[in-house]
Amino acid sequence: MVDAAERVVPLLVVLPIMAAAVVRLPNLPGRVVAGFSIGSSAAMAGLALWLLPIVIDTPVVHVVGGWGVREGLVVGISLVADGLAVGFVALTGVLVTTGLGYLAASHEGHAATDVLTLLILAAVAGFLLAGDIFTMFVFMELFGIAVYAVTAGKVEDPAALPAAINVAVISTIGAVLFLTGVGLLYRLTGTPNIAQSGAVLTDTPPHAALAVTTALVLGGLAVKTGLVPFHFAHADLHTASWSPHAGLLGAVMLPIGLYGIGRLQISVFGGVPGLDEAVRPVLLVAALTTALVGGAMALMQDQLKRMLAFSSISHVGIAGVAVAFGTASGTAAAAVYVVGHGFVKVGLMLVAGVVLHRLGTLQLSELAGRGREVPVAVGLLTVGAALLAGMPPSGLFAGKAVMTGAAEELGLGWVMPLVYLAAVLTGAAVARAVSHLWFGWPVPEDDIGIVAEHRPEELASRSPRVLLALPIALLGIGSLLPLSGSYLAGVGEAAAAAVDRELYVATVTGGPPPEVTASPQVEPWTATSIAPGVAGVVGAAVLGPWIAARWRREPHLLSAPARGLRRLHTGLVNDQVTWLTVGIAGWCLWLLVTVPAG
Amino acid sequence: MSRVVEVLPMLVGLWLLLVGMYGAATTRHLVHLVVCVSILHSGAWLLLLGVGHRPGVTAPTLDEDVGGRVLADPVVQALAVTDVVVGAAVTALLIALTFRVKRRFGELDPREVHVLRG
Amino acid sequence: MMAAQVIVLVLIGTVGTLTVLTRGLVNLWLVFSLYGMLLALGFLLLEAPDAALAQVVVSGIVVPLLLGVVLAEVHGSER
Repeated sequence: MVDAAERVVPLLVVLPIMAAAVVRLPNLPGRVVAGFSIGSSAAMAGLALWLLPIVIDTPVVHVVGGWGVREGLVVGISLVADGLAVGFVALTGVLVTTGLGYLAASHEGHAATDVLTLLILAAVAGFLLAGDIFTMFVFMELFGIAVYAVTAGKVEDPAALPAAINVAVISTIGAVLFLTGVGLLYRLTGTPNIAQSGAVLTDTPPHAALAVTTALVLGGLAVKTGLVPFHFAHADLHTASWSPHAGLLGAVMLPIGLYGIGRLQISVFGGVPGLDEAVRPVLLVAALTTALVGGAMALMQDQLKRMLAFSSISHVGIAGVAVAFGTASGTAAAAVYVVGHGFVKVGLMLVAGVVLHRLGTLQLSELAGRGREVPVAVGLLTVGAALLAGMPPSGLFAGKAVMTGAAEELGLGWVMPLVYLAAVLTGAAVARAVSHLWFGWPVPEDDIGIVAEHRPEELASRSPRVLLALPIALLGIGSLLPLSGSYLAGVGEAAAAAVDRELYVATVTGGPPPEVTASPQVEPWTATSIAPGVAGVVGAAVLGPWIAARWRREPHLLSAPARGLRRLHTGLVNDQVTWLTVGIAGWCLWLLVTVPAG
Repeated sequence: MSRVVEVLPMLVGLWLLLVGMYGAATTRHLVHLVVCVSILHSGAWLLLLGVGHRPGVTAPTLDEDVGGRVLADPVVQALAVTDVVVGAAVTALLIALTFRVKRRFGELDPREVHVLRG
Repeated sequence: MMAAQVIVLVLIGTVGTLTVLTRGLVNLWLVFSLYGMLLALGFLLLEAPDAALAQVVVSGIVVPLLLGVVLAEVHGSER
């Protein structure tokens, strides 16, 4: 079984790339292209799901080209399939498959959309499975380029080009910072392999060069994750991209940055005494700020997709808080949260796509009262609002419940109210949109926000059933998955393995496996977890309509800080680069100051 | 002196990274922006090669007897070559986007084409 | 060899800075092409012949050509 599993691992990357090549063949009819893309992406998701229980038991390593451990050195490119990585690959596969299904049914997209989407899938899998830090970088660049290209190809949308340029510049700078860190790390450890460099660094005294290296590696990944202040370009890109891609960007592309941060922080830098303690606060502050800024920005948006974009940023910040804990239960919480959010966010973005197809715009000012023409979509948005706010038993509820326990273990209980607040803000944002859509409360004009958008020339009089069936299925899975006890137990085991540096090193270098550590109890149903979950939903249900009815129409209620925050989002690439520079300088300085010398 | 030569490539690389970021933060022209991104990208290549370089090393080509001389680290060189190609792809994509912006908006000043705000 | 390395590396830093400070498009094109070739020379002196080869192709041929197309478009529409 393990032998077969080892042979399947590279297929997760190779299969979508081969499929992309086939789909690119000339003169294929559209139906064949769509069917083949959906089929191969589903096959890949199936392989990942088959692999998942095997690697949760025993992580599997595949060294490409038959290389392996020679004289104690890991030679060649290794792909490390552990529970966390393969679980994330499976999530991506499932979501990409639905995204491709939506593209086929809605006739969105252009000639290369399917190809680029398959490439994104392959690159994400490669990034997640990469056993060395340079392979991570290469796949990071591959999915970066595919994402800009797929968005830039949306020629009819006036926002697509500027958004693609913004994110291409910001992401490239982030990748270069990461690569610089990789170079410095290689200088310090003499190997690009994650496990090997972790082993070399274990118990070495920290120093200034190591602090800067850490800041560049993790900061570069934070740029990809869209943590504040690196989030500006991501919000633009999600607004302008195709609906399924906008969902995938928030559901997968941002969280894999978090996966990279967590993996490298634990497996590479985790063994350096004092470094871990210095990095955690930076990450915690950045993630918490991201959650709150994203939530506040979502609440103030007047365009549905941009609202959901900021909501993605906020929820990734929430998952980032759990990653910052660095414990097994924190990692389990982040995993449950990312899975729950992924299904819900792709579902909501598909609903936004349906609204656009039917009503021709996503500007709330023009949609006010027109929700009655699309009752199912409005119903789904309402459910989505409750889910985003953390309705039990959804993954967003379960994730936060597990996170509460993880925070209390570390004495960080004070972050949880802020986390719940951020989630309520994003739920309230969608609830606000629903209020405008259904009750027709007018949206005030303002001079701060501009969102140019694509308006389809022909409107669909009714949506094909499958277009609504897909989001219903996604929202359903996202809300019901945590009811499965074996799912939660699997996440717990995978998380315990992921934070075990010795296990990771032993898996890759072939050393004797360490004693198995106990998996954390992933139990969202506690006496203290349901009350805040329900309170969050009620809070969002009150706050959203109240703002729709009142706050935004009386500008003095929209306080100066809120307006100021909105003004910072200029959408100008220069400002975004400036913010990036400030952010990275902050990461470097903070670590230089707090990492103990020598 | 040899100490300076040893770290000089990395210092120049970091310098180019900073200069490129300065250029990207202040640019008023998309073509100039593309060039700045390309320059900061090349800073990383110099840094990588600097990491694998020591004074007196020889290129890591093994088709002849190197006679006991020390070779430059081929791993970082492979990384650099890969990234040169990645950089070319990013530059080409950005140039194509710039070209389309010019066609669509008739403008190449980023201040004139930002259509997403707030 | 060491002196040549130092000279070329300093030149790369200087020309790179100049490129960023250049604002005219035609000048930018010229300085950037020069920068690309200098970089290739620097790679060669750092004993990385294959990186130098890739750099010659990319910075010496592909990028100037692509930039040239954009320049032609910009100047064509101004006339």
